[in-house]
Amino acid sequence: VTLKKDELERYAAEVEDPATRDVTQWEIDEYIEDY
Amino acid sequence: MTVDLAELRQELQDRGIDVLRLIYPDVLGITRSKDLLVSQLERAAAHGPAFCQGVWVTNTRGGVLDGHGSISDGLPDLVSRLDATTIRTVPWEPGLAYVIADAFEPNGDPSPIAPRSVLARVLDRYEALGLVPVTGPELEFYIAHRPGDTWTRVLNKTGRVYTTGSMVDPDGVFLEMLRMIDRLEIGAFAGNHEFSPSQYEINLWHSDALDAADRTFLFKTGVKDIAAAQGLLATFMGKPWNDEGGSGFHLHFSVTDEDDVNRMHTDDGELSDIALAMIAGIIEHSAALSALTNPTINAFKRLGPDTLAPYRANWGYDNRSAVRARASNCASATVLQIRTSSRLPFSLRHSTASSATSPRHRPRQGGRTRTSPHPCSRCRSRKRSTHLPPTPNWRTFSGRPSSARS
Repeated sequence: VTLKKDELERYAAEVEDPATRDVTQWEIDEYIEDY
Repeated sequence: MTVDLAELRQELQDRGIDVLRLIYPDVLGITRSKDLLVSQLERAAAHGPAFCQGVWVTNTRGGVLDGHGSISDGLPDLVSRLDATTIRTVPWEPGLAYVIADAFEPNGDPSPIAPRSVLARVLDRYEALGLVPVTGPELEFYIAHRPGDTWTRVLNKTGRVYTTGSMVDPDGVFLEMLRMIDRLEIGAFAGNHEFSPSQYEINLWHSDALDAADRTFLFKTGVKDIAAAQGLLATFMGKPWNDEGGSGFHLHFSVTDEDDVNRMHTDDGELSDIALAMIAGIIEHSAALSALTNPTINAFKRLGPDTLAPYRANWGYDNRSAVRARASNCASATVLQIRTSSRLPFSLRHSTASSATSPRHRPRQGGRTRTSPHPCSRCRSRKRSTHLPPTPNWRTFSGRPSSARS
């Protein structure tokens, strides 16, 4: 929960429209190499 | 399990292994590791090696958060212990072998957080029920290259689902990967190009849950390693591209009794009470399960109509649009298929275990999936199924940005 809360907070703070269904550059930077 | 490290060192050296890569998944599923020199194995692995428990609360950007084992706790040791039964020679790196480690607290207790420890606790609960969970993992992934600053798909031609060969693997990368994974001896048996360009799948045989989870972890670690060695990226990210489909982790799930008899069906071919209870449990807890089966913000973006990913709490026979549980009723081969958007395999098993403890619950089948009628009169309701959460719950988690915290 700690990790997920941090992830959601960073996403909400850094993505202009957090509710978008489009894949954002933030997600690419966050996930594509580690997942 | 106690292992004679001197004997193990000699055995590895006889096989030409000089480095043992000790690996374990963190909470996010990321492979954490340390390369042990086999020549030093008795000392290096006698009481560890030790890591820092901060690994459990380290995010992908390197931030160490405030949680179990973090700075507030003094960053205590995470003590690893290799499981010699998991050793696999790494065929693409001569002299190297993987070994999976369990994680322990400094006082010797199993880690309450380590995914493998969590699964062990769940298996204890199954054992108390006289059941053995069996799972068959099926993972999709993309192979990407980086001609510039960003990772992109190698291929862009659509319509080549269920194909193999040079048209969908012009450089032979996937074929070589399949051969390497075979030689890793983790129960791989087939592979193909998937629905979207540069998307592939390799199938693994089913086995008991711990072994299947270990093999899944070795598979993901190996595939990413093989790709990286060639300057490529294998990504299991739920939905890496806007213009193409996401990658799923389909979990084929059943239970046997202690005599290895499939308990998912009755003698006359109906789904058993255990199977129905499992389906009911999954449906009942499907909203909460979404947080585990979609472990990233991105994973939720794969969910929706016509994505072959579940977005309603529903189930059906052999229906790829059904949510959470797909039942295939074929005598001893009866399994549920849980279609998830991404992966957090150990926690998923924890949740399904709880479903097996609720035999009074019965699932209702219905909604828009238009599945075949259930043969059991108890389950013929066409009550519309509910939507699963389309995103993480912002109200629950919203708060100040992490940068504003002390």
